[in-house]
Amino acid sequence: MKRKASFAGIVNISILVFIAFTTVYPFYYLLVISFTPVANTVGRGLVLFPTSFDLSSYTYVFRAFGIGGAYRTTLSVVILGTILSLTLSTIGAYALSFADMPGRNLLMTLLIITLVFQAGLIPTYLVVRSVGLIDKLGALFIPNAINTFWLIIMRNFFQALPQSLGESARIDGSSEFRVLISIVLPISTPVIATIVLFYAVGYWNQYFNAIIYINSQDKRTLQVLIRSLYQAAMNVTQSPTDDVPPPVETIRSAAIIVSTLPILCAYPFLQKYFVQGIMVGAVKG
Amino acid sequence: MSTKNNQRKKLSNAVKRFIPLYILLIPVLLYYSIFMFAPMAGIIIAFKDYSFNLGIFGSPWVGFEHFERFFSNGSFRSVFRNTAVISMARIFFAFPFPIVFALMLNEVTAIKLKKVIQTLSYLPHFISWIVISGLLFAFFSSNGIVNQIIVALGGTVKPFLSETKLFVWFFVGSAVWKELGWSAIIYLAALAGVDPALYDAATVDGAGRWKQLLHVTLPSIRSVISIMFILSLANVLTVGFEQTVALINSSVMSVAETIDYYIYRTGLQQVNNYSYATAVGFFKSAISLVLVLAANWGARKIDPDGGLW
Amino acid sequence: MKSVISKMTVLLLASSLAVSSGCASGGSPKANDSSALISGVSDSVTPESQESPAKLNVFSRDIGHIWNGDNEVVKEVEKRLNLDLNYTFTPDTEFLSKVNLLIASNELPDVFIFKNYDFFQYIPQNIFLEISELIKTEGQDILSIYPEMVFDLIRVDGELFGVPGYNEPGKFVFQLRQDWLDSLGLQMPSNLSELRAVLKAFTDGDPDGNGKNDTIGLAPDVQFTDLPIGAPVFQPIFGAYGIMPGYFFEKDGKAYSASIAPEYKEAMEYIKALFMEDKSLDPDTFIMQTDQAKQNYASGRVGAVCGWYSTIPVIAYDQLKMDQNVPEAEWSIIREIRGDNGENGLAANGMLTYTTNITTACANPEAAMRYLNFLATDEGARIAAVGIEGKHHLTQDGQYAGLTEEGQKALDDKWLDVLAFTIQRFDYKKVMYKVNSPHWTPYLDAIAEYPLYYNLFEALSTDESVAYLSELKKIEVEWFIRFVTGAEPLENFGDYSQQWLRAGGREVLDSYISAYNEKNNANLSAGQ
Repeated sequence: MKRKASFAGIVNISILVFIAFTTVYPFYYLLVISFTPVANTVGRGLVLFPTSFDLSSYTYVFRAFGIGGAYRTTLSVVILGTILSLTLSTIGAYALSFADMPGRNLLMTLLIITLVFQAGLIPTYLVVRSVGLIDKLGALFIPNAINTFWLIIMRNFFQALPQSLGESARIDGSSEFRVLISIVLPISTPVIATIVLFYAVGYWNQYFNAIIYINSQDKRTLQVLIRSLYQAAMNVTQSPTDDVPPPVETIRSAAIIVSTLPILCAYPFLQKYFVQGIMVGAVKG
Repeated sequence: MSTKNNQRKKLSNAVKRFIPLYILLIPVLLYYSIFMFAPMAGIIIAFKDYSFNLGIFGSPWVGFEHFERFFSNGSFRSVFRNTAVISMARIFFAFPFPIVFALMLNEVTAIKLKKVIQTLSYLPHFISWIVISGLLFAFFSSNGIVNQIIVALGGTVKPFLSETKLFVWFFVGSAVWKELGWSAIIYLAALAGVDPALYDAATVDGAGRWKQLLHVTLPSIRSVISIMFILSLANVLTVGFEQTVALINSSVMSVAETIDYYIYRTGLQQVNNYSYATAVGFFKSAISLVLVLAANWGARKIDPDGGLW
Repeated sequence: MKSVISKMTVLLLASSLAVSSGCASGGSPKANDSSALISGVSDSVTPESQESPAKLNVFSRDIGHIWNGDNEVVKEVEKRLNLDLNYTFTPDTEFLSKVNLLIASNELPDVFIFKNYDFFQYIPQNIFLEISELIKTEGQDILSIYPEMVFDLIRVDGELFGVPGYNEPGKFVFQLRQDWLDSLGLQMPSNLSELRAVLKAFTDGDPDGNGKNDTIGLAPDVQFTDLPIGAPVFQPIFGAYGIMPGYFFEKDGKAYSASIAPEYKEAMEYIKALFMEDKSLDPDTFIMQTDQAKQNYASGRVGAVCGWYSTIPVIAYDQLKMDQNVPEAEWSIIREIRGDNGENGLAANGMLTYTTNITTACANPEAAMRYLNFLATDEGARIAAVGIEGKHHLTQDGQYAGLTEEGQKALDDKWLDVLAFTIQRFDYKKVMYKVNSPHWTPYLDAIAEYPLYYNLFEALSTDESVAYLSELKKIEVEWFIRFVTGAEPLENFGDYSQQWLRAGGREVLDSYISAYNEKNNANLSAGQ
């Protein structure tokens, strides 16, 4: 039954639209700045309307040595990493969603411990090194393949599914794995889509690990390269270099746009999985 | 005869059930052992005087010396207080916002509008704090937009960004705004899983939008909210470092300096103080663990299935 | 058949032993190692290896350079010195973390390039080669370009663990808008009272003649972080009062901390007057970030700035195109601001911009030192900075005369001068800057002319200073802001001094004095 428009509904939408305006503004601001020639960005404060369409900041960014490789590297990490993370998280979450499984509480305790206690940088690095991942692409997604936070979220989603769901399949002799694949996953698309998004974005934005684990310049990720790009501009205050790139602000804006736009496209792509009512049965309230 | 067969089938089914699950868990446990637990052995650095030459296991044991040093440090009290204030503000004040936002968005029936608003709402998540602090300055500095309006209306310039009393509001408020849309995603996913039949049934029963929100929507996502709350306590004392660096200035240092920033500013992450920094991290984790356990206990009291365990 | 198998077994065993020992000891195996092993020679240096290029892994901070495999400049240097160079860059913010990891995992490079005095903390880790002898045999040119004092700065107990990157100590320039002086009919100020009057006129007198009250007399150029280097805006004023807070000084055989000296209180009264009475100091001085500070003066709003010498020529003009936005602007350098006692000056800073340290893992330290030495020579400095003569740059009468088009492109692509930050030749760079960008010349000349206040305890590091110094700086900053903004009356300066001393100041001062006395055979005592 269609819901009628109401006063509350209008107020609701107005507030939401206002919020959307405030959240989109910084991005809009960056976009405008990135297309503005240097001189016109000084002392402008807030920006309302674009005044020009200057591509020099983008040329500077795209001319950067190795940018194509950086895009490729980051893309590989995102794809491989998301696949690995999704697989491990899903099977882990599913297996742990059975409340009556012996040893489950112990395992949950162990998981919570990893969430609360972080091993330091040096021990982690030594472990990654001992498995031979230093300066290899795998170092950017294998050591942090599972995010415990999201695994627990997934587990709770699975846990909330009714027991009856896979019962008939099990009675027919289906393996647990088959139940997972053919029955549970298809109705869990919202949470799967969410987890895919979170992991993908996480891998895309990864910076610190890329600095720590990767030494070869040709294996640099996009974020690392972008940061290096305006390192020079920032260091002008310390010792003038002979080169004068476009100032930090326009480069930074172009760099953010360049390094963010691709991943922003991931969400609209996944949005269709957030449609209500895909569930066959009711979610436990 | 059929009961006995059924019983046997049930037993073999039960066994059949768990073994494959254990098998599924193997790669996961492998991952945790190698990359989570093995490095965690390094936490004992917090109780040692770590030096590179001697390595993790060869370095001498010093017990609680680092912790004593941390607690007896004159700055400890204020730094810890700042961290606690900001963390509490985040938990109690900032936590509900994404939920409310998700609920509001859920009420929008025009699908296209809903999608557009949602996409626009999570954009700030991708923007670095430096950029956002620049915008804050443009708004709230002595020459910023807000003060220009104030002056135009006849008032005096208010130094928003140097007021220690306002800092926590700016800090938490900007963090809320930045993560609002992104944090709402998980709640929106939960809301998408609510069976529309429940809403239909409620409508038939005569419940209006508001009652449906209270009695159908909220209960349906109650467990997600509870889990998110407990999990958010897991790293509660780790206040965003990047955000602190971007937003801090000398005038508000006394309320803005959190544990992590203090360690960074005083150079305690330097090599001769590595075990000290580890000890501080351990201390933060210990507090988080207590909070997680407490919250979990509380959640289970309300709903036996609401906890982590 | 049997002998073949046993030979193979021996080979396998030998090579696996070599590989595992290579991994365990870290460092970079020489290119000739494998050939030496297979031939069964235990001594890894065969006659042929003298001609194999020595591999040098250099680990440096990233200031925006690209390490390009086809870099002709690098190839030229490699050819001349028979080297195989490889630089790894890491951004400043993660640099020390990565160093820690390299040490912990025993994967040291051959050469480190550390910022400022960062390498001090790693000396106890025994990762640096002591080079006093090596520098005498292979590094004569390095010894000749720096005064002995600079080497003494980084000597620890008589031992030298790195090559200093010596830079001129003068770094800051005080300048103002000449066009505003002219439009208001004022003279260049040369003392404190004249300065105050000028700043007030800049703020209230509508110097840009647009009828709006939108100008400010004095504003910072960077985010306000600490005294004195994190607050260049106040240095001329401090200098006029004869002290540089944040530094230590000596007077009549006694050592003092400028942070609690009575002259500091007087300086603060002056600054407070600027801030509260005249309102000629930017109200956001203590909250703005560096980006906003740059926008401030480049937009034409600010009358006077004291900052790093690149502030006006490079940032305001080259980067932020002030000539386009504010074409009527004309900046003049303020030569002096004298106090009542005739004192004036700015802070000395950055004598040591970086250090180049050869590690104990370096397989061929002689080759490393020869490389560093080459960069110290005029020839080497030139190649490192501007590339190959004729190809990347031109000379005239043996002097540098500008970049070629190809050189400019290489510079824009960030690889031309990738080697130029290994050994510091600032004198040479100044020559180049003046040729490339003549409008920098007055500023480059000015920094050499200001009288400078040095930190008596420059480069000294004691346990107490490590423990307390950052806390003391925080106290200095907090009280400074409170005094200057009127939140705390200046009568309470005594309270502040007491707190400073109690919070570790006493210990720091005393420990500095004993360390100084020991290092310099002096006999200072504490004056406070």
